[in-house]
Amino acid sequence: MIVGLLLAAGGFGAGVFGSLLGLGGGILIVPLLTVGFGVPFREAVGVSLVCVIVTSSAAAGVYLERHAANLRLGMLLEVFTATGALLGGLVAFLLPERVLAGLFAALLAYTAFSMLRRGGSQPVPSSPPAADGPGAARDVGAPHEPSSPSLADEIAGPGYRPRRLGAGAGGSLGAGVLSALLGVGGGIVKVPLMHLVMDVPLKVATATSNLMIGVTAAASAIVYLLRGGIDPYIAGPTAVGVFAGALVGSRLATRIHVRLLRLLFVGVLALTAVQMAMRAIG
Amino acid sequence: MSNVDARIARILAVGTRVAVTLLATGSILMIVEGTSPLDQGWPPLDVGSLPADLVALQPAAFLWLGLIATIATPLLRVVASTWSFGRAGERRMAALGATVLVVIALAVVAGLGAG
Repeated sequence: MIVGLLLAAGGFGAGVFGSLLGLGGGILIVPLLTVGFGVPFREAVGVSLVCVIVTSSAAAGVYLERHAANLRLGMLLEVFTATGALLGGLVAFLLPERVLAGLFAALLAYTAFSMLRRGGSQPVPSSPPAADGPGAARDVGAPHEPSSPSLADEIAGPGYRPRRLGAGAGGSLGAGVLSALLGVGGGIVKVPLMHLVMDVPLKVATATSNLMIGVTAAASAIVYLLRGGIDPYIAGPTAVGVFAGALVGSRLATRIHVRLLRLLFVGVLALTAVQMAMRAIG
Repeated sequence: MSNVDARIARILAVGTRVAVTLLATGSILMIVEGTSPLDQGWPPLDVGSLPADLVALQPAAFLWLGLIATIATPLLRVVASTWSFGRAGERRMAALGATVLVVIALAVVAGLGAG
């Protein structure tokens, strides 16, 4: 009984922190379950994928309502993230858990470094932006300007036209593999990819990445579920906790000194990376 | 906001609520029953026995159904988007959506084949 409540409480904490710091739940859930509760790494990844889908679906609906996400761009890149997630979901069952833990340690270290480097700048929000973002492409069925538009024209939004679609596709494939192997949403790859490589505005990239996370994680979660890699007794309370925590976190975001919180969190991430690395080394 | 965005947003919102409600119900039943998640293995997913297990208020049945609803929610979004683009005559976007659904179908085959 106590363990179920602790899982929900841990998920709640991960949801609050994830929402405040602009991180998906996955980067927090996997260490919480493996280091905190002694859950095997692969089972923790399966549970984390469920949590990632729940938070993504909740936020993506709001992003669409606010016209912040580019549905066409998301659907193009989803072909590659979902393919990567399918491949990653299959590979995850072949790799030793120590290798996965080592990869996760590297991801944690990279995330901590990125947060530290970002310093006082705005975090990439996992919750919907406060203001409406005019980032979506034109409405479904609305006419194109050119008579036979290229794919880039078709997925363009107001004031921007995505570039380097090949690089975007390749990077999305990698993000899908990463998501499936480590149980994360992959926003840490997709947002910079869309923003820096494809020239998509940051707010649109963030919203579109969030929209894609659900489908990406679902592709690998199906493999985990059907191969018996998701424990419903652990996934249930943890996912409910993460959902509630993300709701609370999005409301606290304007009242909390996020910069200080982020610096503290960098330390937590670094410590967790060391623990994961030790687990990988054995 | 276009009707399509509104429709998809509604699918995501309702799907998430249904999934979280099922997961919360299963979790409460599990806690009331005194089941400790870490002390035991978990019952396998048996879709055929889900209705009877739901009636019997088995925690695992609510949790499994919640997990299925969770995974199905973003997939329903792809189905709705693909259908909307197809109806609007945007064949390239509809084809992209259909490709994603093929990848998902392959994931089901891969999961079942290896399971």
